[in-house]
Amino acid sequence: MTLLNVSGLKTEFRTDEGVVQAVNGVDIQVEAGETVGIVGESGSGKSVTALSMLGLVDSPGHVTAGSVEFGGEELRTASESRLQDIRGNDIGTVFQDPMESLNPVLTVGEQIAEVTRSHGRFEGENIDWLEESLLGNFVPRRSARKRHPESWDHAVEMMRQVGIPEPEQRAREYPHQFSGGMQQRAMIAMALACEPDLLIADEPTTALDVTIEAQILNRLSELQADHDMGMLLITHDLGVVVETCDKVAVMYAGQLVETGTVEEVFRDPAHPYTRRLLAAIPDASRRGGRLEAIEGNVPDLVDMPDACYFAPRCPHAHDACYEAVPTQRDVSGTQQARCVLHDDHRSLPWDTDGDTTDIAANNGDSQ
Amino acid sequence: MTEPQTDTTDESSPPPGAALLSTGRRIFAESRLALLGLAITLGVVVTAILAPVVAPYDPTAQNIAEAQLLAPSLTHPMGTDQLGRDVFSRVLYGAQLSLQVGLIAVGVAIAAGVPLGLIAGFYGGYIDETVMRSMDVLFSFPAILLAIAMVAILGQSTLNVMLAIGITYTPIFARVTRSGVLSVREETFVDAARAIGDTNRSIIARDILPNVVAPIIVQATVSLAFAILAESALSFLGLGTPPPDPSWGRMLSNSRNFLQTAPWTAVFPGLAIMITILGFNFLGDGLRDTLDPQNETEEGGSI
Repeated sequence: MTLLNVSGLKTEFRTDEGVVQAVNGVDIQVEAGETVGIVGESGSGKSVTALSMLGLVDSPGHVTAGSVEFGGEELRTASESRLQDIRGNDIGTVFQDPMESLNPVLTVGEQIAEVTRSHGRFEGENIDWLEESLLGNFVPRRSARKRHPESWDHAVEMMRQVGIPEPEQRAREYPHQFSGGMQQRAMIAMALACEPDLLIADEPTTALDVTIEAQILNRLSELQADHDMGMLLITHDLGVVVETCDKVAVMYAGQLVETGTVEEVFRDPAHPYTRRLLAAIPDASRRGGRLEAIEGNVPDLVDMPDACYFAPRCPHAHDACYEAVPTQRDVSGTQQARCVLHDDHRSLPWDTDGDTTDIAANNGDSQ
Repeated sequence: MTEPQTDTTDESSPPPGAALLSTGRRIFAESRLALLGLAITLGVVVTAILAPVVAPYDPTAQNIAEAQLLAPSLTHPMGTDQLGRDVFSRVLYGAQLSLQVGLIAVGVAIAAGVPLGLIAGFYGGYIDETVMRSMDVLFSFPAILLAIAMVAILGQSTLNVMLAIGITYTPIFARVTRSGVLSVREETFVDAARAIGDTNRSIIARDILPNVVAPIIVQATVSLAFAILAESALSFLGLGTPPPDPSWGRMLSNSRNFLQTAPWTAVFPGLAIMITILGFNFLGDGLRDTLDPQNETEEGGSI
């Protein structure tokens, strides 16, 4: 059974300027043990997609259509309390900015322990009424470690697993005493504390430098293999996708423009946008000259035209592109692209801009 | 930063106020005014606690025949009033009453205002509108006028004075709390708390409230001074603490007729009020300067 099956997901924001279609018909499947990457530029709707799946889109945003099936259960119609059960317990989430994502007034260990406690993992260690009441903040109590030893030890163990040195001590420290990399590890420990079936990682390494990024991604992959966990990795870094993902979905203006295995999409991109993205990766072997860029910007998502959203920036756009929104078409059994050219993508004009293909091939090889 | 912690730190529960405490040390190291405020405040508190020990006379014992309106002397350091009561003893006991009124009134205001502000700020929409507009109604009355009206309705007693002042200050705490909540609820760690399945109640109690405590504390010290002043004002108008309990405001009020012949009956309670208010205000200003997010330093973190 497919672990996560998202189909036709639409999320819109009703603003004063008009209705913004942030997510416009997204279909994603994640199997257990599999990593699916969502890539796209800033503002393409990657993060909103993730929040929409969890039912965490804040007003004025609304999920308007589609279904999110998790382990066979429809999440869009699930009650809020059922969703609270699932969040953190069955689906873990890692956010982009670790400093912002940790509560500055609780120790790291307490915050990780809170996950297992709020899901009743250990008998008699649930979050009690005093903590849930406003008074809880002002009543002196025994240390967290003594009040709920099992949860605390579990939190320390999770910190050890994500590679935080001296976890017993560091669990008693506050987030501001952690470096960025350690904070992100703590976030991952929180997300994994209940051994979720699915991990949604929203740009988990964007705020970190490259060496830490590699460490964290490796650790994530190992933990994923240990727990046979499905992972949805949201990123704008194509290198990260190649290193960690099995499948990839390229997102543009709220739509998936191309999906497929990493191998297929990076070796043989079928959508002009994917091709331009791959071409934009700087190549160390070619010094000098200008860096490749995609001309223009992501379109304003208010009142989108009934046409291919990428057409205004597409070097291969022709009349057919402006007639209707292209549908996803099969390129191979596992690869789909939302482009009218796709059928002939091997013979059509872009094979003349040889650079693109070279770079794509280079990338595929070197990774 | 990474130095190993001793076991003693572990014994005490890691209170949400831990960050506050370390900030506290910083405040008093940085601001002499805050330090002075703290000293005065502590002085007043000690005075209030030790009043029964220190006071040479019973504050309500009258001696009209022998000791009416005596000037300050060794036997009566602050003189006596028109009923022959020792002003020094009454000022000392007055500190008890003023602190009581201040603490309970501010307590009432916090107990009512902070939850209202939390709910209004967190849920927003109609709830916010309803709560905050009713707070605005309360706020639109001049504070003293509202307190006078409430004492007039509830009847004159120390408890009612406290309640009246507390209700008058409720909107201030609701507003301060709500404005803090509005910014904190947009923080990612609130989203993160949702993403681990926390309930709204738990998010409000564990993620929001501890992060809006700083401005509430500042507001509380400032309001404490105002509450004491308000009690004095109400007593001066004859609506505060009923006689014979020694209230600084009532002492001032009674001394009006003897200002020229016995100024000490006015000067000493007046000084007591002034010093106490000054102490709380210095303390509040000092706290505000250091806890204010605008002045926040890197290592201070966001409390």
